[in-house]
Amino acid sequence: MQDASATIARQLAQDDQAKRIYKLLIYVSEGAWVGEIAPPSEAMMTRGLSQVLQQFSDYGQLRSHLHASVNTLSKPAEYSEVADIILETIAQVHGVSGDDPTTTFLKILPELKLTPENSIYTPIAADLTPLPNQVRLKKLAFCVAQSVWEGDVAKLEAMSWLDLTTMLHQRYSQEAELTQAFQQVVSRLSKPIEYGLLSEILMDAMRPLYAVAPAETPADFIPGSLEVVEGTGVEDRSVDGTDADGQPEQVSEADEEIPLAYQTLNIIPPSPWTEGNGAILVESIDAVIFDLHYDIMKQSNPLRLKHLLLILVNSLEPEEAIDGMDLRQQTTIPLLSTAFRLHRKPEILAIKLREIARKLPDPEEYEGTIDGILRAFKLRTVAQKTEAATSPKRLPLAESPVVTGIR
Amino acid sequence: MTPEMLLAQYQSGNVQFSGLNLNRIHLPGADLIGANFSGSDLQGGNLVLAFLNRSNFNQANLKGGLLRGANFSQADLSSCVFRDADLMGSNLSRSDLRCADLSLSTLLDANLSGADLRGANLSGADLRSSCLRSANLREEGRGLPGADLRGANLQYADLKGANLSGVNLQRANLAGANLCEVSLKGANLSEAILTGAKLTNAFLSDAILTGANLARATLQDAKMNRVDLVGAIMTDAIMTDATLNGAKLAEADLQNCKMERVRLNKAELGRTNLKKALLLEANLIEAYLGRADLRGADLRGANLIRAEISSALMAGANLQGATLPDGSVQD
Repeated sequence: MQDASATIARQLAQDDQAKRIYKLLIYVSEGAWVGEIAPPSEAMMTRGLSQVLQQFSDYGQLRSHLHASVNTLSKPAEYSEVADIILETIAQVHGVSGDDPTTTFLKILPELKLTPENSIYTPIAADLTPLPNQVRLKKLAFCVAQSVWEGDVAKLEAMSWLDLTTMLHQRYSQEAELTQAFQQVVSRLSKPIEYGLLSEILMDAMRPLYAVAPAETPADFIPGSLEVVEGTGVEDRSVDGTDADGQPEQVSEADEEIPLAYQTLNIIPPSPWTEGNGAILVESIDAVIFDLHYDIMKQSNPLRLKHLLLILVNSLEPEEAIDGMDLRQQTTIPLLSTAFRLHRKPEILAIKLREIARKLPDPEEYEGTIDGILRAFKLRTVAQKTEAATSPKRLPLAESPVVTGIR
Repeated sequence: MTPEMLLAQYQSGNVQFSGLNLNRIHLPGADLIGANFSGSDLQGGNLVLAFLNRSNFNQANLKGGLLRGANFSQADLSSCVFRDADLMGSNLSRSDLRCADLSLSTLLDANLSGADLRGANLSGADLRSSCLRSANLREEGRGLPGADLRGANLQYADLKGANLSGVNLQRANLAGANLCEVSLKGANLSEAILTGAKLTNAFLSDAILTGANLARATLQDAKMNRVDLVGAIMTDAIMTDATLNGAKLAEADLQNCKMERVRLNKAELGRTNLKKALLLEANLIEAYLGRADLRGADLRGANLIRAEISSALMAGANLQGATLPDGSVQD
């Protein structure tokens, strides 16, 4: 039976749809949508499968929950096939019958343990578990491992160091790669000093692993590739924290740390807007953004507008923007505000938007939306120039007859 | 009826699909402009990116439907059940949603501009970044009740010019929302979150905002007569030229509030925190400021005639040129 359970994970990991299988498993078990990933390893698949089977006691439950989850995605047909692959693989290997939905997974679960080689992570996990700053350590480790800035403390607390260290080791086969990944993420945080220290703690803990055997590394994985904006070759944004004009980016003043350039990382931006008293801090958005949004909406489909903005701002692959949780986690108004802040040259923006649209289903349907965005972009530029030309020089607050800085 | 049959009938000119059982029908991207589905059961249906402009879904059941990006502009959606439906990024502009059940639905990024939402149930709905410009949600005197938005999430929603008179927004999240020129007369906003919201020129008279959080909100020129702000948090809010005559502000926190030329005549400000508030040329005639904390407040040129300030904390307050309760002017 040990061979049988390993066969499931192996078959799923080798399937053409492995990425989608892994994403769906994580979505079903954790409710989180995994962003762009390298092809998942057998160990990752084992872990995903294990989490799912632990939650659903029988085949019938699993089948109904998988299909219910699929229906919440924007590509239900595609992911329905993925769900079927998962179910069929389990049924074939374990002789579970789809006709007998009450067949339980009790026999399967004990076998879905991590492979023996993963025991090398146990002492590392044991070293990391008692350290202070657990939430931040896990937040950083998870971000480097999965390119997702997880802000949910409960989720972070529930993560095990065994899983986190396994994920890190499997993703970064060389010590230098892991060091570089930590540096890249830390440099984009608004508290680089604090997180720099935490990254050193994590590196110290992980170092013994690299004196052992290298972890599995997918052949096509390029360290740091998630930071690279793909496509047009006319990017007006570099990855070193400056925009096209060489001006430094806006750094969030929020208490919580935010990756500075999450727009170029495939990272879900954190939700730093909750104060200690439970109130919600929000990014201040200029009133003109609401006007421009309204103007764009007059000739655009709001969902297609969101697809474009989500991909543009986060440098996502089109498929990632259309599927899953990102669509719920980020909303149009802040995305539009960020897009206008980052992109200053309409001709480059037009090329980028059309490049994105070409990769989406029904690209011609996005033309109206792109025209709307570009028109809004020009209106904003005109409004800014007019304001600059007509507004009087602002006085310091104490001397000003009217309070300035009102948005 | 299968999706293929329905589409074939529509293409042959039949637009009448009322009273049918179309449970879980799969019609993504379908072109069904002007079709009549009134009274039909489409529960759990998939109408993603479908074209349903000017269609009729009066009293239809779309509960739990997958309706992302669907175009319902100018559709008759009155009394339609959208409970738990996913309407993310849908276009509902100028639609008739009177008495529709949109509770717990996902309406984030949706276009609801000009929609008629009187009597609609939007409790617990996710309306983040939705556009509700000029939408009508108000309570009618004798007819329709106001929309129910209790606990709804309206973060960054655009409600400019919308009519929300008498609406229930209890515990709603309106952080960062655009509420400029909105009418909230008599609305219930108790314990609502309005941090960073824009309420310039908004009409809030007689509204209930007890325990609401308006920190950093912009309320310039807002009309807030008799508003109930007891225990509200308004730190760093901007209330320049706002009118709050007869307002109840007991135990509210207005620290660092910018309130130049604000009108607070006959307002109740007992135990209110006004530390470092900017009250230049403010009108506080007959206001009650018993045990209010005005330390470090700037009251230059303010009018405090017949105001009760005897027990207020005034250390460090600047009263230069202010008219004091007895009518004398401070040097």
